[in-house]
Amino acid sequence: MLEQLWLVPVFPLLGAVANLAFGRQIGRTMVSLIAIGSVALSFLLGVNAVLSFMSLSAPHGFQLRLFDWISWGAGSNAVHVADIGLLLDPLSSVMVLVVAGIGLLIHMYSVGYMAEEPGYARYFVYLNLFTFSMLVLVLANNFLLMFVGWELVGLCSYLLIGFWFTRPSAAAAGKKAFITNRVGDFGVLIALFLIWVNWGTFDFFGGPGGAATGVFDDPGRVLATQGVAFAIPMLLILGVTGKSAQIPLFVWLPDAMEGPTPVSALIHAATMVTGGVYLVARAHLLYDQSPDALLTLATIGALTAFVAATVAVVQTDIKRVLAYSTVSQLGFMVLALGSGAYAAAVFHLMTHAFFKALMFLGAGSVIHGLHEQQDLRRMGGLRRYMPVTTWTFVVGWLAIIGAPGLSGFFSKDLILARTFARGLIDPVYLGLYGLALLTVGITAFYMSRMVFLAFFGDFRGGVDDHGHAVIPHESPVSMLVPLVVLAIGSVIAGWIGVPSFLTGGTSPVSAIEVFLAPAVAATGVWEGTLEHLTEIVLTGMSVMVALAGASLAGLLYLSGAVNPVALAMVFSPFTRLFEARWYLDDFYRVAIVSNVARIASFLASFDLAVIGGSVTVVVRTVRGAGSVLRASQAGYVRGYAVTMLAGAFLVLAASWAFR
Amino acid sequence: MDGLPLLSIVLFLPLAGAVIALFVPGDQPGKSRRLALLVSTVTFLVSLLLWFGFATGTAAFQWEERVAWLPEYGIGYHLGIDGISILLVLLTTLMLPLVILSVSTTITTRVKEFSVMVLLMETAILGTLMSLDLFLFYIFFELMLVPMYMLVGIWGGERRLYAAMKFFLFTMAGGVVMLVGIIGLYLLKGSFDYVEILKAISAPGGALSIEMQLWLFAAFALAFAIKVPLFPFHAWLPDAYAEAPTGATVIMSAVMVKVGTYGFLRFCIPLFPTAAHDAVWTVSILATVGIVYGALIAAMQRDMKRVVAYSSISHISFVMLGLFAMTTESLQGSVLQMLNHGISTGALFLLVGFLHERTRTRMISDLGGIAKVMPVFAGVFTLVMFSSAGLPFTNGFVGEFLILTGTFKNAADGLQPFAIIGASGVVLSAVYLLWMYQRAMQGPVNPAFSSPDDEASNVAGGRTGLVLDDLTARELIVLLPLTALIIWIGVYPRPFLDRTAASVEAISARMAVPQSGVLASGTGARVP
Repeated sequence: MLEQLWLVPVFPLLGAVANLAFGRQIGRTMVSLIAIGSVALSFLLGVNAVLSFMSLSAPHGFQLRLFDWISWGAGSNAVHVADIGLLLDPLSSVMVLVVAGIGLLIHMYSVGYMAEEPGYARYFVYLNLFTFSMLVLVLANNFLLMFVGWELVGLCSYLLIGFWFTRPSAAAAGKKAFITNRVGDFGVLIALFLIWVNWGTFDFFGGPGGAATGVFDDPGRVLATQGVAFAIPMLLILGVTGKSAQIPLFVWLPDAMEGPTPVSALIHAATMVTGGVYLVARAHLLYDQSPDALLTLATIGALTAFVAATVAVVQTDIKRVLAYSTVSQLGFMVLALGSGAYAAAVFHLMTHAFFKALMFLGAGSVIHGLHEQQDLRRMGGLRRYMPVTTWTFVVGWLAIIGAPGLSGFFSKDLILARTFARGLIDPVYLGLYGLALLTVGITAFYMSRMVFLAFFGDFRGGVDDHGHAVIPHESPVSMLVPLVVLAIGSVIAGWIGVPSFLTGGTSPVSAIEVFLAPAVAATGVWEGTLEHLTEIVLTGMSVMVALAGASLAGLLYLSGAVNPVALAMVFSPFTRLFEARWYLDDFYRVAIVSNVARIASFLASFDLAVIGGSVTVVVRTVRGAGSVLRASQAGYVRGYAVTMLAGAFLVLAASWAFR
Repeated sequence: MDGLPLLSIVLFLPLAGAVIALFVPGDQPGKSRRLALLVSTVTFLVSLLLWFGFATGTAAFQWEERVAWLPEYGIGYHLGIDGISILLVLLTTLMLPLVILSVSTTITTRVKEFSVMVLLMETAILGTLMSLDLFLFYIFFELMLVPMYMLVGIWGGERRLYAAMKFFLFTMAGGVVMLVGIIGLYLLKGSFDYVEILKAISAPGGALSIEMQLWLFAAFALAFAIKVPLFPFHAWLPDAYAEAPTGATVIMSAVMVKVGTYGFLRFCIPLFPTAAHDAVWTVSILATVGIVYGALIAAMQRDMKRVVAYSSISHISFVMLGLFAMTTESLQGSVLQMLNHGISTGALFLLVGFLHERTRTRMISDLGGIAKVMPVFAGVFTLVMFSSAGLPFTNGFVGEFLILTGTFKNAADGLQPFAIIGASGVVLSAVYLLWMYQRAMQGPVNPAFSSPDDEASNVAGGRTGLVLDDLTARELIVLLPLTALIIWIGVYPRPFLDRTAASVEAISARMAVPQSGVLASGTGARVP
């Protein structure tokens, strides 16, 4: 079955093409069937391929080379820049299942959510195209093809954020997302140049039909060249901060909420934004060689987790809370990567995909049930109107704040434990651990705040902006089923990462780490594990911190024991900073955008006046002097033809004369 | 097929068509238009024989034709194509029928003359690409000026005469200087025949002196730099592109300017290798400046056509960067990017023209929400726009990536900084294209426009202002080959890269000769 691996990405592509060609003629039911069917086939084939792969013993995974892409020449003159080929290994296995699985659920959910949309077919074309692109990104067997997927998911993100493009804010957000990502891609591009120059191939691993030695077969090659071993991972980090919304490029993700909510769930929470995490995990052999790059990554991750969490605290739009929460959770993953705990990052990527997709879809259900209301201040008490949405959402909430036993608990604790362990070698990481632990508390606070404001207390949104009465209603079954499935996943997805001190296993690490080890086990950076007792203490601490955060939110928003407005006044310097999103957007606007615009507009006038002007002078002179020319301009084509012929004769005559 | 002078047939079919068109009565515009379309389509179909019959793996000229013309002066009628020219020949024969088909509703006056000029232009361009005799090349090179001058001057916009004059003077000046260079080369080597001259130069002791090389290089380079145009020789371009009728803009931007980049690769680099190598930094600086400069100015334009005009300066500068990096990758990228630039820029100008035809404005601020009114148009526009922005799996990515990687690879000449700055053009192109798209195509629909569907649906007010129809079947036929090529080259560029590889490798191998050796032998061949 592994030979059919190529069909996994191709099915959604075919779905997109079919709906693009015929979507407007065949009716909504057929559009949905094609869109969902293609992803379902892709998922089933993906599951099948992963199962076949697991029964196979292939050290670097299974490679399937499909055809030459950028290459030329034959024999000894042949140049292979890159081929189209796929790689299935433990890392891409996890990614394929997450992408196709969550993608399938969100396709199903979208049928109900987008039912009223005029652009129904267009929506599913984009969504299928995204699924294809993301599968290319995670299945590519070389850097260049991975970059294709990397850019194409950016394209789909652009198209879907701007899906309601007649809304100026949506159009602006799409553009912002694409351009911000392009800034990150600039770094990736330069890294690709360095890879090509140093290895002469983009292939991850060598093998028949491709390069003899892949980049990861010989990662140490760049150690000989001053700075390159550091430069490549650092340049890739720029791409990571774009795609995975980290400091300094995270500014696009909150705006991306302009897109339809299922898109936010799939692209801007569960899958695309994890592309950067995947990239580092994939290229971890290059990171292992550069502790400085790793530390940079860890610092970016911890800071992003903290900063985004603080901003989430003051958001009033339910989707924006989730957006900043996503940025923050991605920060946790990046922190794990920077600690050399690649498996922990991928594990959290997976659990997060479940509970964050769940909460986004839940928020979508709320918005749907409240006639497009997204403001938390206009919600409240929804548990009485929307029981399924509420209780599945509560599962997601418990998962993200790390309630023991749920998925987020295991994955987040693994990250904290591994960061702490790294801190025993490099004390800087202890500081990052502290920051992450603090963020756990903030996360519990803002998440609880959101849940309490939306689902508990009394309903505050009786009348909408147009004066119509709003009666919340539960969403259709097609939207509730994905919620339930994701809720189950949010509970059990963590069980593959139960720490060994709880299971009493012999391995010092958890099952997911064992599974991922062939693909992402760190080499030489991080050795050893923590004492079981230390792990238990760490876990206890994070649970306590989370409980404190949630309790504080309860006091403020559930029992009303403390007035949140009064508290915000007390901490007004901070809340102002948080509300201004740490002034990062303003900084870009003032320092970069306006300056570039100033330079550009100077150049535009320069071009007009100096470069254009210099010629104008010449033209004017000639035109003024040559009244003959002036006359000829208004003349007939015949006149020109005669002139031309005369010229030709002149040339010939000259050639005879010079004989 | 071997016996047929295929190149001459392709070359002179349009000219023959132009002559026949002269005899079509002027009051039957449909007839001359159909004739031009037929002739150019047949030319394209015949030229497909060149594509399919092209032998890969050899750098030799194919379908060579050599007839003595003025043997006393070493002037011959000498044609031939190789990997450097094959793509551009096909690009030319493809674009011309598309242009003729695209203008059938916009060029309604003097259709006969228009048809003649366009066909004449096709022969002139093909002549420059096929000529292996410098004198013959020069004739075709200057011949391009005449029809283009008239296309702009007769069918152009309000300031057409100014623009046409500017274009004419500028390119003419370059051409005259090149003529001096050609004659100089003749005096040195006693022939106008490209192959003979190349052979003479490559022979031991045959290389030109460094001073001579520099002078001759400068003479050729000036003509080509104006044609390309390389910053800061682009003064003619914005006005010429903006004022020309869409059809002429497409011919200029998609095809004609490629003669400039082609000329650098065909003549400047192989004939004057030492001088070319000395010019690497100069050209790289100008090309890199052009990439950033063109992109930044494009962002500031208010007229869509001028956005595309400046963007084409930015994108053609990538080609120049790759040519002078002279690595196999960068040269392959540049040769492919010449084709890509023709496809993407040509398609963008066509789209802007189609829109202008409907909205009667090209001002971005006068548009808005067009994607809502013309969804198919918007879809095609999006694809072409991303191809221009170098999105993977479109043609632009393959070309630009190879150029930049190849440039980066040339560490011996210290070109990495140029590759890095050049890569910033990838960010900038997204900026100006998406910003234009946002303002013109997205946002609320400008009440000045409405869709033909509006009356049926319950849009408030029904139809208002201009009713904008979506792309017609004719327009889709024009765009289809271009969009197909955008994806084909993006996903499977191998047929294109295979055809260019051998010739490109021959040049990069030639340029890899230790420069000191060339110098040493060059001094011996000083002009008496």
